[in-house]
Amino acid sequence: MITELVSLAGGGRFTTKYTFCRPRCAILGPPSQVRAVCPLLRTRGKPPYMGLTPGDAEPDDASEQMNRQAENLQKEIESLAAQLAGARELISQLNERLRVQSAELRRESQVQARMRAVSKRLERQALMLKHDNAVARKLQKGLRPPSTADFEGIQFAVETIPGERVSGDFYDIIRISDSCAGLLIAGVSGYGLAAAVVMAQARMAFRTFATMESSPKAILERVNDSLLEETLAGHHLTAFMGLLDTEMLTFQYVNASHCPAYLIHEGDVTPLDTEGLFVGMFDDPRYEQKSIQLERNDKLLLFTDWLVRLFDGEAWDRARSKLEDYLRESSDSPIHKLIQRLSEVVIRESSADVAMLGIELLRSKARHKKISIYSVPMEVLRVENMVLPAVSAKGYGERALFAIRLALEEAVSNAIQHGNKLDNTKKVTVDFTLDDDKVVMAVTDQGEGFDPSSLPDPTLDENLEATSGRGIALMKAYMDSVEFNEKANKVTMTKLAPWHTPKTPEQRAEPKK
Amino acid sequence: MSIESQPDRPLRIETKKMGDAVVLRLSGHVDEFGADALSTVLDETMEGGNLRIVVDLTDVLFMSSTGLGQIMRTYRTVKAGDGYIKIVNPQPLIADLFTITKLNKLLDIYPTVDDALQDA
Repeated sequence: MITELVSLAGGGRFTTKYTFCRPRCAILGPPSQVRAVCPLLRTRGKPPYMGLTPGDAEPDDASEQMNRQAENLQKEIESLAAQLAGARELISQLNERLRVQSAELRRESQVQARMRAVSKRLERQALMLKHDNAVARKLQKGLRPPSTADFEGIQFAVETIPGERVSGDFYDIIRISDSCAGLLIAGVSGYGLAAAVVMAQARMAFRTFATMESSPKAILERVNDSLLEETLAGHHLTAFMGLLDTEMLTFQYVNASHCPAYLIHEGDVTPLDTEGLFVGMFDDPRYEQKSIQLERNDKLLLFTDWLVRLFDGEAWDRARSKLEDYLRESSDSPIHKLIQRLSEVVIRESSADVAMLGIELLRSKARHKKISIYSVPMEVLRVENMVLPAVSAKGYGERALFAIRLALEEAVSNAIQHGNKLDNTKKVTVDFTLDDDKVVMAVTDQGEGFDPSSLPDPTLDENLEATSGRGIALMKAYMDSVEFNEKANKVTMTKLAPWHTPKTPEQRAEPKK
Repeated sequence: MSIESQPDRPLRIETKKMGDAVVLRLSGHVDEFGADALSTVLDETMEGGNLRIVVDLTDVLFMSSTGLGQIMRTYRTVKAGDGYIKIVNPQPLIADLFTITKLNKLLDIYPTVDDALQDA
């Protein structure tokens, strides 16, 4: 019986209707009933019930036979009791298994319920597709940023022309700081509600990371990562993003497979392009960042691809050169007039979505910039990203840029860590002046100051193994002058332009050479 | 007119066991943040019982005092444990750093990883 149960249970067909109530009744009942039940109690081993079968009865001595039967019965009871104990154990195991199985069944039905819910949602969405375009259009409209941004001396002009179908084209102007504007133009693949939703996600991501990161490359990399995680499968975007320093007029940009923007400078039209793959598609999108110095009266035009297609529906390159011709011819027009005229062409010639964003610089580049940061290590990058593009655009070479970056990083890190002791309620200020023949950087913290003459010389043999204390020595080695104020919470570093001094850091360190 | 300025390019570090040494191949910028990453990798290497470390600087574009500090911290630990830290192929701008700070007096600098591994 038990082994049968085991095999049944092993086959997974066991149900609760097999109970142990029958054998137990049989054993406790009269011998006739026991005999009647015995055929049910088969085992694979030695049959323990032999004495109960009629063939085993000894007729010659009734009392002896009774005794033997009682003995056999006793054995039988013991054997059955043992089997019963085993069976009870088995029952509890089986009950446990049943409990687990039914839980699994419940889980399965939850999955089914979820699938039903999803398919219902899909049906609803299919019904909604009729209204898709209207909804997407509303979403696109609602996300449109204000068409003016308030930066002194910078004129903005924007236009979005709705087409028959809603695409995921959008622009954005992000006020990153009082002197930094983020300019963005992007297009989501596909049309309709899905494109509009991805557009909303992307715009949110750009806005978030633009305030956290300090270069367009870093911003795009963060947006790429976040879209890789979140976006509906199969949607990606192309984007051109740049950060404009509205004082120094440097422009750092990355083009992620979008159509290149144009710089319009004194009648010349130059495409601004970089390496870089779609946003939201690849783990390593390989964005390249470039930087240019803009001048007074320069204009930038960012746009989506249908503007190009208008100029030649067949060949992309021909269309590009026709657009460039058009921009060259109208390079004297103010940016808002230019965008207005282009919009008229778009409306007349096409039924596609087009977005355009233009700026015109009505001011000259500043030679001085005051940068204020919180005492957070990451902020060093923000300073470097504001200073280095302007220095580089001025014509400083690789070696000078390395020196300036090194001195700046040492000075700003010291100010954050040793001056302000990482107290992020305190600020570090960098006064940066870019003259024709030199760069001056003054870094001030709100700390207690220190005595620069007390610092050990890290190049002495006994100090060589030190794990810190080289920052100021490096600043002195790489700059032409390093001066502290009396309290020494302000250090002023000057680097002469390379065309002004032939000295390299190595020559400065080893004057005999 | 176009210029390169990418101070925020991250530091990439590849580690490889070669013979009885671990070779760290760095590419990018060993700035404040790069130095943090380098510190973590150096700690893991040493905690794993590897005190023979070769640092390949071929593709390092920038390094500040924090990066040098991490190298010296490692130098002290491996020296105490009878190991070594060897520097491979710093480009001129980075090599200048070792000269100016005179760390080239303490650290052995080799042109290639093979040279560093072969020199006992």
